[in-house]
Amino acid sequence: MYQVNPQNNDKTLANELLTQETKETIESWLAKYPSDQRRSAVIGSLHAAQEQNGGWLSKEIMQAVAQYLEIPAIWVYEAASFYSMFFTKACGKHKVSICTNISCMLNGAEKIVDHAEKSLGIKLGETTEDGQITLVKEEECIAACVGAPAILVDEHYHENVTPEELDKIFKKLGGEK
Amino acid sequence: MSEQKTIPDNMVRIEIDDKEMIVPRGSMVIEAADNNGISIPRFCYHKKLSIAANCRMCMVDVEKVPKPLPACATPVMPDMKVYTKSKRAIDAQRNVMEFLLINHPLDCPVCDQGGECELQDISMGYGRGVSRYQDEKRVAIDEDIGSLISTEMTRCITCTRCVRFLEEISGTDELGGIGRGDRTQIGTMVGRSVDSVMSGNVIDLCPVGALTNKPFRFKARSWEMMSANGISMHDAIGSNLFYHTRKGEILRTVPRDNESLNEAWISDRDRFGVLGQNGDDRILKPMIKQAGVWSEVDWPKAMDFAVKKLQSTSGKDTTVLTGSQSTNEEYFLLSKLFKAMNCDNLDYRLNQSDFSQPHNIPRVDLDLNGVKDNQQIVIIGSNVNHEQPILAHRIRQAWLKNDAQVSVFNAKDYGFRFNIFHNYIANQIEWVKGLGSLAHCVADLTKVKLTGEVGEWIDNQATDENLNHLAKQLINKDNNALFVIGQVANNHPQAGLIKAIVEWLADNTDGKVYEMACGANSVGAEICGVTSNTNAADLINSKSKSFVIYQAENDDFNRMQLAHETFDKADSVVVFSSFADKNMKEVADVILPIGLASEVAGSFFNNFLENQKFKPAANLPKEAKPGWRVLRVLGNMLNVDGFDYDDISEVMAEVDALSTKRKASFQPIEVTHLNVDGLVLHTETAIYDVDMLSRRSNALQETIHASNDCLSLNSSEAEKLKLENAMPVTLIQGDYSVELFINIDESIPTGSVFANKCVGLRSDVLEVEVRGESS
Ligand code: SF4
Ligand code: FES
Ligand code: FES
Repeated sequence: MYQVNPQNNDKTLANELLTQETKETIESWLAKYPSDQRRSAVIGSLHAAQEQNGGWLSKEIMQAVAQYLEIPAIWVYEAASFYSMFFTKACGKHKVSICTNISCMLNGAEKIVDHAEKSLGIKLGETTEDGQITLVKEEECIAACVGAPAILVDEHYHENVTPEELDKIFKKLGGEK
Repeated sequence: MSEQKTIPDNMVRIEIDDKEMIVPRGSMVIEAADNNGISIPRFCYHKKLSIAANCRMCMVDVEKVPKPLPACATPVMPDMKVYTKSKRAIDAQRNVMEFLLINHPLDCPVCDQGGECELQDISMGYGRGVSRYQDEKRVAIDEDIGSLISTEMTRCITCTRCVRFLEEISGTDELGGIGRGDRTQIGTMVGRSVDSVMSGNVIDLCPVGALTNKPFRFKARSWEMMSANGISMHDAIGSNLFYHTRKGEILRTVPRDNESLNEAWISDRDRFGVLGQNGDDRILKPMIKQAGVWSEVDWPKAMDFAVKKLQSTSGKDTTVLTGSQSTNEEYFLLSKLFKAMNCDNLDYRLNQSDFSQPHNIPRVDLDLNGVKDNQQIVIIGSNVNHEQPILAHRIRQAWLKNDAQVSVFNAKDYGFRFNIFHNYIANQIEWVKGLGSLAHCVADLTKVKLTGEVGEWIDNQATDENLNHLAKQLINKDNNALFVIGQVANNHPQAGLIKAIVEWLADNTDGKVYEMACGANSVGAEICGVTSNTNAADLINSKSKSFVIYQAENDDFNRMQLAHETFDKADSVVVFSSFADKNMKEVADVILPIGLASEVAGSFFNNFLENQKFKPAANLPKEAKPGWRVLRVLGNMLNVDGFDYDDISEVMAEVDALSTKRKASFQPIEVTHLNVDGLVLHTETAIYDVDMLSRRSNALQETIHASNDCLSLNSSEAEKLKLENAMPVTLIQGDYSVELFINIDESIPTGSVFANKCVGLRSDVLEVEVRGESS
């Protein structure tokens, strides 16, 4: 079992930064786990915090989550930096992750990456000037190999992607301004 | 078969490399190998940390298992046959080694760890001569994690020993694995420093050169240095150390394993404190002051001068004061010399103010290994984490492993790294009353009353629900109770009362007491007889004509200003010291440069009355001499009998013969009643201000724990006084006043203000006034 070291009960950031809605989501995650395993709620909480914070996790909001969960801040940062669906640097409103793992690579993922980079004028890991689209740096297998090459757009799957389809997607994302 | 029957149930028989051994059931293959002299390469495994099994270096071949297994995470099984050097084992180890080196830079020539690097050693044994890896290597960005530890994270092999140490042992959770896969980097929560007071241990744990000793950076190679045994000069745990020296100079300190004391760890104070040895006010030659002018002279001249000074007053008119950092042999000779001259004015308790309990050896009823067996631990008036970090670690382990419940009576919430069962935090007057209430509850429950004034005082303290709950746990015979008393209690104006209550509490709950000794060797000063019928507070308030100050300075005294004035007025002040600051030079007439404990042979008594002997680790600088030799010569010059020692071993033998029995238990005393209108001051010596050496260690003084000129109070008090963070204020204590800056800190209880003692405060006057800048 996990023994959590005593945390100081400073809740300033949690109170200041987390909206009621985020707190409620965190609570609903906490309710799913035994009370001495609050760390388990970290991923659900980070999703809520990221959504509230405009698509990325600032250092402060990660600390706020840690304070709310009463776990060490470093645990929150570890989880946030581990998963590619969390963004610890400011990024665009929409995230496009192009899978470049083996199946997708064999089915032309590199061409998709090329096309995306050219048409948006940015490299993987960068954000368009208008702050609309971020090309996520290096996405590993997203478990959609049957439909390779596959991409994730704001957590929605698109399979058997072609450059033409990509253009349509970008247009839609850009048009949403 | 008959042989097997003799194996106890909790043991199993295994073979490693055809060597038969009986090992504890449930232990890991690597432990069995280690205990039987079979070496298995490893990086992430450490006997004091949890098992991570993430480096995979310890692969071994186990009979009937189709794949190699990690020895650190494979439990022993009956009749298991393990091969550490079979082809399969060696192949696996070599392959892991190759992977580990993929991202590791080839910068051994400029790496501090070179020559003592586990990666270097093991790659000599298992690595290839030439790397087959052609692609790009990973580069990591370094963080500044403070003044004690250098980081070079590109060298990290992510064994996570440092992460586990800070989580499990220190309890501070300051480092973590950031990122994923081969991009994982060990780091802090963005730009924080690592502030554990045991942080330096990650330097020893790190198997590569990623975390190294910052003050030691680029100073020496391991093969250029000699290693000498040493004993901690800063707290009475008496942690065992190795000093690493080159040409007689101590360049760094590392722990020497001692399972009954410091285990494999040392505190940062023990690791970096000795660096104060090179403080720029180190005295390198004897000095005398004539007509207000200092001059450096040779030893014979200085000794003549000192003898004349000492002879000009009678022993009765001489006062001898010393700190707690000298060896037993020095204390013994100091006491012998001056007592022979009819001097009965000696003391070492410079920082204490209430002397109603007579001179005594601190009461400690258990050893460190026994701490974990107590289910109820009560900390009374102590920042144990700063006073004796190793004791704090042991208490933490009792909480972590044995579910001990720890309660606290303190004037500040120190943020201990264990959960607190009952947290009684109140100002310096109120927490003592709280302790009285606890005693009242115990008295009611046990129907045993303490007589006398203390009993009456206890009776007058209100009982309350929470304390009654704690009292019930304490008197429960299934719970072993332990009462820990620290320096906040020891230097409290009601120290005598506190100790009397604790003594009574322990006796009535069948509990034990651990009274922390001040500094490294105050126990030695007590045993060796630097004691008299007059206490330190009276002595610095006396009209003694002559003062002898032995390895102590202004900051060691409770009443710094008064000490300075008194010395100033005295006819003569003879100083034996390694350092002399401006204050000392103002009042002294002669300064005899003596060696630090790390530079002389001698011994220290620790809190558990172990007499730990040591040899000189470092050369004495310039003309400094061992204190015991100076005292010996002085004894001869003053014609005192029994000073014809040829060797320190003769003095040691006399120290060995001294009694280490506590004189009596705490005494019934008169109760000092404290009454303060308004804010109550809490002042204590900061962790790195405890002695001459730590005050002069720059590395320690640059940490966040160093003392500062802040006046701390909580936000509700600050609001009442209309004070804001960083505002300058004047703090007035009696006729002393000092400029400080407001620091809002919620760990300070209401009705209380906190400041470090080194700003000139005394701990026995609790009434203070805070004046804001009048605009
Ligand atoms: S910094 Fe050192 S101890 Fe920490 S994970 Fe890296 S190699 Fe291991
Ligand atoms: S490799 Fe792209 S989804 Fe699996
Ligand atoms: S020592 Fe066994 S896996 Fe690291």
